[in-house]
Amino acid sequence: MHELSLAEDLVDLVADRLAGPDLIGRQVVAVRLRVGREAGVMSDALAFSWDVVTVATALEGARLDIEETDGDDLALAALEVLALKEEEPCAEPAAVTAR
Amino acid sequence: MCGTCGCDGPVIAAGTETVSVEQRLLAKNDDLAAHVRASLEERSIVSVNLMSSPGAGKTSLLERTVAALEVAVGVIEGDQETTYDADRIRAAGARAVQVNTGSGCHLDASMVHRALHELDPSPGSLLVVENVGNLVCPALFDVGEHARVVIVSVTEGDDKPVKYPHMFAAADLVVVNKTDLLPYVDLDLDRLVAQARELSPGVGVLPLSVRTGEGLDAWYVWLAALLEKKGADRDRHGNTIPA
Repeated sequence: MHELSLAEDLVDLVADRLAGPDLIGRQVVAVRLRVGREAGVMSDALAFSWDVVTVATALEGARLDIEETDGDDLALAALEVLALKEEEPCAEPAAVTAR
Repeated sequence: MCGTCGCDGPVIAAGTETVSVEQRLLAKNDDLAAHVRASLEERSIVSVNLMSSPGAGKTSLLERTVAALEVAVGVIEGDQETTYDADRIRAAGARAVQVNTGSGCHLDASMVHRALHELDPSPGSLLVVENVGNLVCPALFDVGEHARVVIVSVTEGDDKPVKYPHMFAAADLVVVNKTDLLPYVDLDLDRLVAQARELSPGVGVLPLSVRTGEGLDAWYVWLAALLEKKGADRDRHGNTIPA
C-alpha cells in the first residue's frame, strides 16, 4: 500500500527539519499531519505504516497526530518537540559521581 | 542530553514546544518529477505514464505501439517481480528497463529517475512508463509524465471510473481494451464513457482491441498529436522523421 511509501517520505521530511540549526538534538514527541479526505490516503494505514517505519529509529515512540480535513491536503503541519532548558540538571546525578 | 554534566540520562524537560513545518508530504516526489519532466523536455522526449489494473493490456498495447510507430520508443517497466514485461518490449524492438518494486505497489519519481539513467532515452523519442498494475496507488505519484493514460478492459465492468475516482480523475486519456470480447460481457460503453467524463471532463475515451487491431489507429493519432506538440520526431536511428 502506498501509505508505507508516504510514511518513509514523512520520516525523511522530519529528519530534514530536525537537521535545522534550531532543532539539532531535539527529541520529537509528536508529528502533526493534515490529511484531506480527497487525498487518496487512509489515515489508519498511514498510522500503521508510521509505527512500522520508525521502529529502531530516533522517531520510535513519537506520536502521529492526524487531523482529517476536507480537500486533498497532505502535509506535515508541525512537530512537537521536547523543550529543554540547558541549565536543567539530569534526573540521575548519581551517574556522574559513579564515573 | 543533560545540559549540566553531558550525560545521556533522562532530563527534566520544561514541556514541549510546537514548531511549524508546513511541508507537503509529496513535495520531494513532486520536485523530482518536475526535474525529470524538465530534463526530458530539454531533449524533446515525451513521457506517458501508462496505468491500469493488472492484465488490462498495458504491455500488449506497447508491443503493438513499438512496432507501429516510426518515432523511437523507450520503456520503463514496473512490476513487483520478474523482467517478463521488459523482455517482451525488447523482443518487440524497443529499449526497456525493468524496475522491480518488491513489495511496492507503484512507481514513484525516484524509481523513474534512477531507471532513466540506465535507459538513457534518445532525444526526440517517446518514453512510456508502464506502471505497476494497480488502479489505486499509482494515481498519487507524479513520475515526470506529460500525459497519463489509463487502460480499462471490457471485462472489468462499466462502473470502474467512479469506483476508482482518483485514477480516472487524473487521466488524460482512457483506453477501453478488449472490445473483441464485447459480445461475451455485459458492458454499457456509454455508461463507462459518461463516468470517465464525470471525473475528467472532456477526456478522450478510445475503445479498441489490441488483439485484433480494431480501433488502434485512433490511439496512434492521439500519440502523434502529443509527440508533435512536444517536438518528439526522431526514429530509432536518431534521424528526424519528416513531418
